[in-house]
Amino acid sequence: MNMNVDQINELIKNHNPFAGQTIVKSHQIWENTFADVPTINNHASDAVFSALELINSGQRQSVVGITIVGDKGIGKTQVISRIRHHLQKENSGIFIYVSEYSGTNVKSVFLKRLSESMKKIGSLPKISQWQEIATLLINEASGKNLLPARYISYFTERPDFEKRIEEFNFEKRIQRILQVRSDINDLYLIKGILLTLIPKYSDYAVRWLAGQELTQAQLEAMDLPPVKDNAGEAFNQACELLKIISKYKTPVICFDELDSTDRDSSGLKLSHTVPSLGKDLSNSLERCILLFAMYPHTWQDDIKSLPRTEAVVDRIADYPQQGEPVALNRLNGDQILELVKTWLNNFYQKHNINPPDPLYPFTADQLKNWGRERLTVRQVLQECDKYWRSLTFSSEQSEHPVTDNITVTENTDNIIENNAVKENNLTKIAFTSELEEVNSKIDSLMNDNQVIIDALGFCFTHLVGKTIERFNIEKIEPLKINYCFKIFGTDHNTPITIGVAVSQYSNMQSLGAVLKQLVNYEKHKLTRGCLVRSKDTSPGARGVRQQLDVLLNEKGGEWVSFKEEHISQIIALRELYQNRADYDLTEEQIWQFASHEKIITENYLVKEILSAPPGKEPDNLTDEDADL
Amino acid sequence: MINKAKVQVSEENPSSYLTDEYVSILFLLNLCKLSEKNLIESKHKGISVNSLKRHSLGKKYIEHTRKEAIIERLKSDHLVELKIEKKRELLFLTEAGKAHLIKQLADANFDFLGTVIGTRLVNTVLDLMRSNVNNSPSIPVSNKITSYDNFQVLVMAIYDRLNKEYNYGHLVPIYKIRREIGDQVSRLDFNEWLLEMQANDILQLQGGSIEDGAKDKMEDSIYTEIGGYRCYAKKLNKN
Repeated sequence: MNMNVDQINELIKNHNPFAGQTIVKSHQIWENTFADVPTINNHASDAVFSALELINSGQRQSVVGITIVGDKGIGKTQVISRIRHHLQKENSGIFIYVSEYSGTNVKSVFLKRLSESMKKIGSLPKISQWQEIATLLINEASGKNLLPARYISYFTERPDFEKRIEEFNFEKRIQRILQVRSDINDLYLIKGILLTLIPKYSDYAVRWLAGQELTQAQLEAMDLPPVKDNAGEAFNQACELLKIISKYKTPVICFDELDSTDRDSSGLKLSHTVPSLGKDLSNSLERCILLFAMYPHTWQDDIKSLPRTEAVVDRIADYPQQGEPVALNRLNGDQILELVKTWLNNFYQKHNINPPDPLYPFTADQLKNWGRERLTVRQVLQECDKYWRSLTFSSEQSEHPVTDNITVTENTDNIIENNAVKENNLTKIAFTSELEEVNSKIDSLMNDNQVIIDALGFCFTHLVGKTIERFNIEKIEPLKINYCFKIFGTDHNTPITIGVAVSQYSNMQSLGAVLKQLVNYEKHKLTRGCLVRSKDTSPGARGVRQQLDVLLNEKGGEWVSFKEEHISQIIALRELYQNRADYDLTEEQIWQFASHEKIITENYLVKEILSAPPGKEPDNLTDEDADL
Repeated sequence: MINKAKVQVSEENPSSYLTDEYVSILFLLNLCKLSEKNLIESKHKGISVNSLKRHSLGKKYIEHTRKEAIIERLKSDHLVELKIEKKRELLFLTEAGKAHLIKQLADANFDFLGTVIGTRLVNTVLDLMRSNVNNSPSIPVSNKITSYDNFQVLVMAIYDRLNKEYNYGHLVPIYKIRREIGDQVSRLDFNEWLLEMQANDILQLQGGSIEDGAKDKMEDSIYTEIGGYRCYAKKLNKN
């Protein structure tokens, strides 16, 4: 569509393609929604592709370690996303993405991310990487060459489902697979993988493979043993699974975001534990590519200072040059031009418009000039965002011709107000981007006690000094129970101390242990215990039922349930707050937005935790075994 | 900063515990001492390369190759210069070398090592310090660098040396380069020319913060409008 310049300017005023789009979120890595210019830093992606080529063609039968280093925002994650889509398109490997290591041991996190990555779509449409491997296992043992879709539709729910499962004869198939694959030690792992082909069980099987706990009923339905909850077992299981996978396709395992300065309980940073994990993987596996992404300083200061650093360095950076990481470069003028052109092209195509110039409203000189400073991708996008905003703000001003003094003040107020609205909009765009990321993995987050308690702690810390539901919040303190904190405050001048415990365990023993602590008001100096849990309990768990009875009826405690939408907003808000520098937002802007949208003050969970207990179980619980 | 590296004193080679920096200072000081004397006795302000081998370094034995390397470095840093006069190779202390020497002697981390030290050497130190007290703004600046080309050569020499000495792994702090160059270049020229070196793909300026975040180190880094702070330089391999 051809539009005149005024119409295009109107479009520019109302839509800013760069706002809040400067961080590559992990769901964008999988979905390829972040515009990429394949020539930018292609030496890094090419290194991975050529290593893959060497391995796949049998010229190098081994594990290859590649480390890429570059400043914040330089485009490391973008290069990783490019690798993911290359593998998908060329059907040349399995892509595993590991980031967000918070919480437990890094080995357990690795197993979890491995299984979650395998749940993503691979080279065949709508078929997960797990289902692809499951099919290859069955096909190899049976000498057939069927597509995954055949198996999946065979197992799709219908009246004769049970009969079909029986006829398929899992036990016999697994025995046959074990005959062909004598390298596999654990028949249950094969079973777990095969079960991903059954739509009804697929999600449970993925969780089981990830080392996540399941209810007794789920385990019995699939005939799988309980998971062993320890880091050593998790690592062994990850290695076994990778061994099974790598027989058919080369896994490319990307460890991203290794630059956190936080230390674990033994005083180690991620940049210590993850490369050590990489070294162990390198020793245990026969065929894979290990990719690490970090800041140059993390490499220089943390990795090179590890004890026996050569052993680690040689394994995590042995290609293309032994012991040397691949450094990403900042963008020069020509590359900035390419990048902006690609973004604008997407924008104008989306709005079905032919711009007067592919770079409009930027000029080639302007962009080339930025190149002199050698910027990162993020800096370029931020600068585009700023320039775009400056265009819309100034055009606003020119629309209100100033005639006399009175109008000047009015107009200035208008402009300031308009600008405040626009700033809120920018925060909203950034918030929406975080919310999308949260929603893309909400199933996993619903089971993540750590993430939920962190989001709640973040909200209540912000509420200190404020009154919600007649409850005046005074301070927040940690509590020595897993995934807990204490809220001090007053309700109608009565001092109250609430112990808040998030407990999404499927395992009734773990839940029982938390409840036992939560009802011990004397020990933890509480006046009210509050269990935050969206799932029902197993009917057979008598100990848990007893403790719940004590909490709700004897101790005047509370059980608050919640739905996905009750946590997604506050998790996204916390993420936005933590990434605010990357969005070029200030704390004030975020709080202003949060209060404008009432994200915290009107949050269902926040209000329920503070309100007086109703003395009964919530009625909106979910039954985890309902689908069985 | 001079490292008082009295770490390992080896029996066979007592001088091995002296750092290159310490040896350089002693050498410059001796050069200064001799040139002061020569100033009166002859017209030369320099010192012959041959006599160096005898005089040199506080009578400490320094291996020949190491001494050569140190002199080469001092030459490439423009702290001494070699001239040929009457068929003799003479080393001269440059004004920049003198300024460097004063700066190093004033550093609180510098100590003379050993137990005995020559009177003339100490008097030279006194002269130097007095000249600096009486006339502090005039730390000699005659070795001004006025062209980008010379700047580039100097920066790369300093970069290579710092990278090697401190084992920076090609992440050399910009504030260190700026301080090494000192007054030879104005702050604005330094900023401009370093960015020029980046635009010519000789160096990439990167890293938005410095480990301890010290204000003076940040100030001595590079700041640009869009890119913000850059604290480290990295040599680019041209293919």
